[in-house]
Amino acid sequence: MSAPVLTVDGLSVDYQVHIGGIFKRQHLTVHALQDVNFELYRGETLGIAGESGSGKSTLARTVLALQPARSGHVVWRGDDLLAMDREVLRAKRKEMQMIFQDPLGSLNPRLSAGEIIAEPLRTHYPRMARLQIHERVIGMMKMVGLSPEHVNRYPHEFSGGQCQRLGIARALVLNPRLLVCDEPVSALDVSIQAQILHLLKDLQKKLQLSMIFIAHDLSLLRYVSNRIMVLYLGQIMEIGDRASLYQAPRHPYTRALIQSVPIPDPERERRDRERGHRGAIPSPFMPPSGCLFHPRCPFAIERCKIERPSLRPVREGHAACHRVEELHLERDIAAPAASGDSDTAEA
Amino acid sequence: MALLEVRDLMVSFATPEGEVHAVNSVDFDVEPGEVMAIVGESGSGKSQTAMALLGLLSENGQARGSALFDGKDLLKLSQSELNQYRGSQVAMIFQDPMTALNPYRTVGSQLREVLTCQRHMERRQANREALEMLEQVRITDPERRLQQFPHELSGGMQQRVMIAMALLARPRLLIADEPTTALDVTVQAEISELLRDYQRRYETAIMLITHDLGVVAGLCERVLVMYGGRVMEYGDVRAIYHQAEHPYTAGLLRSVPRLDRLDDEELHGIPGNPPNLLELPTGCPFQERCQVAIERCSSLPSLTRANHGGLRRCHLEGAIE
Repeated sequence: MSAPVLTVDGLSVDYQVHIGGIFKRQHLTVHALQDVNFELYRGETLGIAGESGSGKSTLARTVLALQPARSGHVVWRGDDLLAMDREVLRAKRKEMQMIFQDPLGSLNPRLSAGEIIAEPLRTHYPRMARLQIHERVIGMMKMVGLSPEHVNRYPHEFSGGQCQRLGIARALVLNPRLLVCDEPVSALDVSIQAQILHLLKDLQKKLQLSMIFIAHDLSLLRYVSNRIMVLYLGQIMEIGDRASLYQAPRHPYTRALIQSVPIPDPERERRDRERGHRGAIPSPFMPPSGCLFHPRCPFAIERCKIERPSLRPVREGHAACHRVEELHLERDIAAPAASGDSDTAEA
Repeated sequence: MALLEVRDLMVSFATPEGEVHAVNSVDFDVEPGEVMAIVGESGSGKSQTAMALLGLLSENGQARGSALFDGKDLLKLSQSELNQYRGSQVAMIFQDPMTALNPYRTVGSQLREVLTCQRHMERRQANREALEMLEQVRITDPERRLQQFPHELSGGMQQRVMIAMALLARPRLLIADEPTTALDVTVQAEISELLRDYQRRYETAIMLITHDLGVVAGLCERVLVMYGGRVMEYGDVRAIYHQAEHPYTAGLLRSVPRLDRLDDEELHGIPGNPPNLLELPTGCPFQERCQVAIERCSSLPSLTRANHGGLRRCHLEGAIE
């Protein structure tokens, strides 16, 4: 295999938070990311799943060097972005683009569709001829499935899905090599999500893009990712090959995330399915001792409360769980047995 | 007798671009103690249907038709008459708890207000009931929560407080507008279970408004599917999920990502864009996105009896593959 295009090595990001008034002012540190390591290859999609406070958006921002890190390296095609001179970084940013969750909110309401797509070109190539820009804009609109006749329309005249297409066109107009998608379909109607996902997949193949695809749960990542990383309170719980992660999750938290996604099957949703977790996500200000998931984990033992597990290799990936060798986690939403009795799936 | 009988409900809005018909002749019943769902996407009219029932339409909106709650037409009541129903008989919870909770008052004072106003309780008794309700909605450390302000709670906690507040008045109908959409999946599952438990214990009827067919599957008995302001299909959840008879329902069911079918590698969807209510086609509102549309679809099909025992609005016969 060729060298990775992106190597994230020991990345830790802190936020300083000040609470209280003038007198009892407290300074708290939140570890938004702790010792995150991964690699991304050309043409590969890494799916990142995490609930609120998992650090998924911080990770996206730090990978694009929009957010300083406490320690660690983000090595993009041989250069550490976090140690880079601002001017050099600016030039490098052309190679990395982002797509945001809120399709309408991420577009300037005062610019037409054409101006929105042209803006990155004008910024990075100030001497490009108008005609050339126009041709490129029209080409991009066609590529993302927007009608070129709508080049003078404003964002509010488009539907959510069309706005997201516009956002994709803007991101791709500079021919980036890396595309970071931060929940690009979660604000869209269910029936529209597939269109945008298919578009991203097609474009990725055509342009050999590397992609980081962030989601708040595991339901959609299966359709776009080659590998999946599960974050919880700023740490990697599990990272691995897509097929094996869904078939046989190795970390109890991964399993809990899978079990929590409701499925449109009344028979199964009604039998009291074991969701695989209890309680709420702890506050990032006061993370639990030991394994971060232990207060919610149905499999926790004494050791989990004391000692933080490191990522250890498992089949086709890594999981941070003390009991990974002994636990054989069963999903109980797997396809029912051929006998037709769905209640035996747990056995 | 049905608890709520909605007949020929129309909701329209006067806009600079003309009159927009958000809801068109919608009929449905909510039986006492049942959980029913109104399912739809943007522009389906699902939320405006709920808002119309509680007199919460925006200034330029108008509702016609009838909505008999216990024999009284909610649409004909004055604001002060409606106030006797809101909260005490019909309560509503919203997607974003922060828009429904008062940021300047503690959780305790907001919960107690429901009891002192609606159920004329004394402060001390109200406090006790509020505490019990917080325990029922599984809020940890409830005594401390009563002293806290909404912003000090997590999103899931805020949602629980709002549910607690809605349930304190012991409403006979709870309208829940996307109650789990903004929450993390692990929290979503818990809120769904909470609603189900409460409904079983107190036989409160729940009208769930959502786009999430997974949540509906776990919670609801009957489902009303809307598109472009009209009812497309109506009936028993199990029957419809097993054999949808409207192409839109079938398409929507196919669009849900499924973690129980790992052999299906492709996410399905519906082509086209959501309906533009200003430019709805004559005839079936779904025709432009429908893959089995025929010429006849340019005239509006009526709601007819479906094989699953419910209703469907489609010219084509039988189940959709």
